[in-house]
Amino acid sequence: MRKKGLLFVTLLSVFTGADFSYQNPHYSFPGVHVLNATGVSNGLILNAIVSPSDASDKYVTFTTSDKSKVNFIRLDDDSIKVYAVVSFSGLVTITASISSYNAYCSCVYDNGGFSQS
Amino acid sequence: MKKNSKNIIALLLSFGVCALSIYSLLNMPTKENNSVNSISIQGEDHIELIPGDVVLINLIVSPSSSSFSDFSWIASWSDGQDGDVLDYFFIDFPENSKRMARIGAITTWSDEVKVLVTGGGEFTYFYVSCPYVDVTNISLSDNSMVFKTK
Repeated sequence: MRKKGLLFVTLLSVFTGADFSYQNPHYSFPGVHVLNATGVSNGLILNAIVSPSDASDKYVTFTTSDKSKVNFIRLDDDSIKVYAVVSFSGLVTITASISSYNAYCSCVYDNGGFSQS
Repeated sequence: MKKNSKNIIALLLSFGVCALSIYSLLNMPTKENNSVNSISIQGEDHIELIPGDVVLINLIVSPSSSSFSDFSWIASWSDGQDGDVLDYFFIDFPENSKRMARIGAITTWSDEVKVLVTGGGEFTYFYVSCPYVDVTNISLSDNSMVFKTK
């Protein structure tokens, strides 16, 4: 069954020219990233994708527009885990910077209207 | 009788000289074992590294029967400029033999390092570079979208 699925994806790739590889991050998702609850354990990992992959400078600087609402812990040179410090409304912007390049994404808080203990 | 004994002595002496010659021939150090006709680098003579890379460089020594291994590896800037290349680049020998060297980049540099290898009256050289690669783009994804490989 799994082989059939793989064959289907392969054939689809051949006929459409699309890349269905799951090995490398080929696309960017600037958000909105939804944080469903407060605390580090409920955070999500943001990956900065630096091009080219063999760039000499690999250390990405991350900043948050409001760390009283959304903060992060660094995982490695190009990854952080962002988390909601408190429940909040509106957008908090995370900026990733390297050399003179910046990438931005937005985080919102949405726990489905349930209060969290 | 006297003549016969002289002949016998001469014969014995001849045998002795002959035996000594054969012994000397058999025990003579084989010159080829330590001789070097040519040396070259296995692979490309321009090696591009990125910081953190470590590669092994093998010397090909001709004749293959040669056991010579006391080669000298000297690194310098290819344009002859002053400055210690070993601040940027390292070279060491993981085995006792200097027929194989390990090279690596500590950080990037803008010029080329020339590594001259000499020994047994022969020489060869190769170049090592570690150019700075500029960032051209950055984007962001979260773990719900990307399967990241590291």
